[in-house]
This record gives sequence, C-alpha cells and structure tokens, in this order.
Amino acid sequence: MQLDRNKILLIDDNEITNFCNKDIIGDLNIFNEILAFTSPGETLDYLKSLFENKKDIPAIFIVDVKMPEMDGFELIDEIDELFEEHDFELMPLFFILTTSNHKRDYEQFDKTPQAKEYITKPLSEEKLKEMLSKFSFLD
Amino acid sequence: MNLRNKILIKQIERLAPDQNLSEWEPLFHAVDRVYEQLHTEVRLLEEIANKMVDDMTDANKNLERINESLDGFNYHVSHDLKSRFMNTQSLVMILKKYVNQPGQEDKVNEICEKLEWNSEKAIETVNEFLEISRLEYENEEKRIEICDIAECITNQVESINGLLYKHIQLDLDAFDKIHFDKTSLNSVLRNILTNAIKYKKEDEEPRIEIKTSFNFDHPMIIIRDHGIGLDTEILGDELFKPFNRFKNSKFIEGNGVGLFLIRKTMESGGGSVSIYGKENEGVTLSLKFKKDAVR
Repeated sequence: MQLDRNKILLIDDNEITNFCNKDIIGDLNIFNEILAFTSPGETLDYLKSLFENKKDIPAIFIVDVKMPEMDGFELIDEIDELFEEHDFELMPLFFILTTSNHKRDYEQFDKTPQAKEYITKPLSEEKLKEMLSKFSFLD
Repeated sequence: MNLRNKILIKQIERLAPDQNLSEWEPLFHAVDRVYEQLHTEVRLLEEIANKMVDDMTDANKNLERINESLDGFNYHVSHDLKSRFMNTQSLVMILKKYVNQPGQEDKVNEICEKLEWNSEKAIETVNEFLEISRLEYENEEKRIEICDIAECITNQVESINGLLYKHIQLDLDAFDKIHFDKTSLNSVLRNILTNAIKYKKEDEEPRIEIKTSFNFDHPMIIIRDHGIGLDTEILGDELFKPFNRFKNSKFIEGNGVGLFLIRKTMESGGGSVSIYGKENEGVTLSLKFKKDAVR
C-alpha cells in the first residue's frame, strides 16, 4: 500500500463547507478523487476499509478542528494509531483548516507534527495552490 | 433593485452581454434576501458584543468566573458565526463562477438554496447565543403568571412545525396550569421539542409524550421522546455543559446549547431539570417546579 497523490480527503462536519471546498479543489484538476466526510467516525471507517481492501491511502487530508465527536487533532491521533496498527509507515500530509485563530488551537497545532499547515477558512484557490506547491503537488 | 444587485447585473452584462436578465430575477431575489439576512445577523452580533462589553464592566465580583466563561463563549460564538459567514462567502464565490456558464442553472439553484439554508441557520445560531447571553449576564425580572401548559405547547409546536402536533401525546390529568415565567416555560418547551425532533430516529416519525404529575408535592412536567437517545448515566453532568456535543449528534446540526439553556432557565425560576435516557431508547426530561407553582 502506498500514498495516492491523486486522492485528497476532506473532513468537516459542515456539509456546505465540504461542498464549496470540493468545488474549489476540483477546479485545480490535480486530483482524480476528492472525498469528503462529515465526521471523524466516517473517516476512520473509510480508512479501515482501505486497509481491508489493500487500497492506497489519500496523500492529503484537510481536517476541520471543531467537530462533535472529536476534534481534528484527536482525529489525527486516531489515524496515526490506525496506521500503526496496520504497520503503515508512510504519513499523509494533514492540513488543518479552521475558522479559529484561538491560541489554544495554535498550541495544539504546534504539538501535532503530522499537521503540516494551518489554514484559516475560507479555503481559496490561492491558498490551496500555495500549500500544494510547497509540497510539490503542482509540478 | 438595490446596489448589490446592480453590481451583479453589471458583472453579468459585462461578462455575458447576451444574457436575458429577467431570467435571473429569482437569483437576484435570493441574493437580496441573503444580504438582508446577513444585515440582521450583523446587527444582532453587534448587540451581543455590546451586551458583553457592558456586562464585563459591571461584573467586578464575578470577573474571573465571567472572564472564563466569556472566553469559552466567544470561542464558540466566533467559530459558529464565522463558519456561517465563510460559507456564504465561499458559496457566493462559486455562484459567480457558475452564473455565467450556460447549462449550469441547476447548479446555480442548488447554490442559492444552500445560501438560503445557511442564512437561516446563522439566524438560529445568533438567536441561541442571544438567549444564552440574556440568561448568563442579565438578571431579567421574572414575571410569574399562570401558564396554560397545553396552550404553551401548542404555541411552541406551531412555531416549530404545526405537523408535529399529531405526534405529541398529552396527559395533563394531574394539573394543566402552572405558575411560572411564561417566557421561560416557552423557551424550555421549545428547546425540548426541538431536541426531540432533531434526535428522532432516522426512519421513524417523532413520538413525544408529555405528562404532568407530582413528586413529593413538587409539580413535574415529564417529557419523553422515543428518539435515538443517549446514555445519560455515563455522560452525567457533561450533558448540561454548554457547547458540548455528543456522539449521537454527529450528523445533526446544532450548537450544543439546548440542555444548558433548559437547565439555566429552570434554575432561574427556582426549579430544576433531570434527564434520563439510554441509547436507542429516547430521552426523558423531568422538569421540577416549586411546590407552590400549582395552587
């Protein structure tokens, strides 16, 4: 199993946010598959199913912070654990996408090395391109 | 036709000169409505902000406590409202893209519907936060009056959804009137009924039983729903803390303030509330009133 650089995954409990972000990302024509989930639980179930079927893992996760079940950082921890359980040693890029500029969220971000970028909403084509080029997705 | 629409029309005329503008009438109306709603929201938001500033200067004694809760409050208010505004922003951005493309009428309609829904939710959010700030920071004079329970329920049902009434079973044999602040009782009932609908089982109609009774001379109103429920024994007091949302709410819109408001409101009237529920078996809320609330 590998990381699939043509696959991107969005997790946000707000369905409209996912709708908009899917549209914005779609316009870039970089990814073949743009997945969106409205809950951490669904996301974990999906990842488990990928492991069961030996399918590749999306290379980028865009994660909201404030969600009912668990917050985005807790989800990243859970994903980490899941990867460990399956001896999957590659690490996708996690981008935090949030409305918040609260100190406590920045602190959490600093404590989460898997989270590579902290983006404040709304997502735009420019912001997206900027971070994708940083990780050479635009080459 | 207002200024915003004029700008929109100019854009359309410039980018797609052969468009028949009269066909876009519904879109302009939708955009207008959204802006009007946003205006209301901003005004309400200013009201909240002003209220918070006023209260903070007053509350010397409880400054620390209030600061702490304000921090949490601000965090949630700003998150929830910002999300709505940002969604509006993003939706309008996408709308602009599709509005000039032929054959995208369905997409445009879909986006307009989302815009409308989003604004409605924003207003709901503002109203809930206003209610909290009123409870938390204002010592409103309570006006005890005789409330006709059936009438209060009917009013709330009508304001939520008239059709709901046929799913409610009323048993007011023990008493049907109660001495309480009417605004408070209405607010409590509205929150309980809204929850009962929100957390109904997906493939079933809501089913709500409302019953009055006495417990050690205390008048009680007991509301039971048969929704998805949650395990109240495990969650305990966490349930009543503001902005807490639980596993069962993962697909349900909400701000996590319903139970908090219910408890605050009951307590401000000298009563209390308790909750009992199990997963998949619905939830029972017991409202307990002062002994002299039924005379």
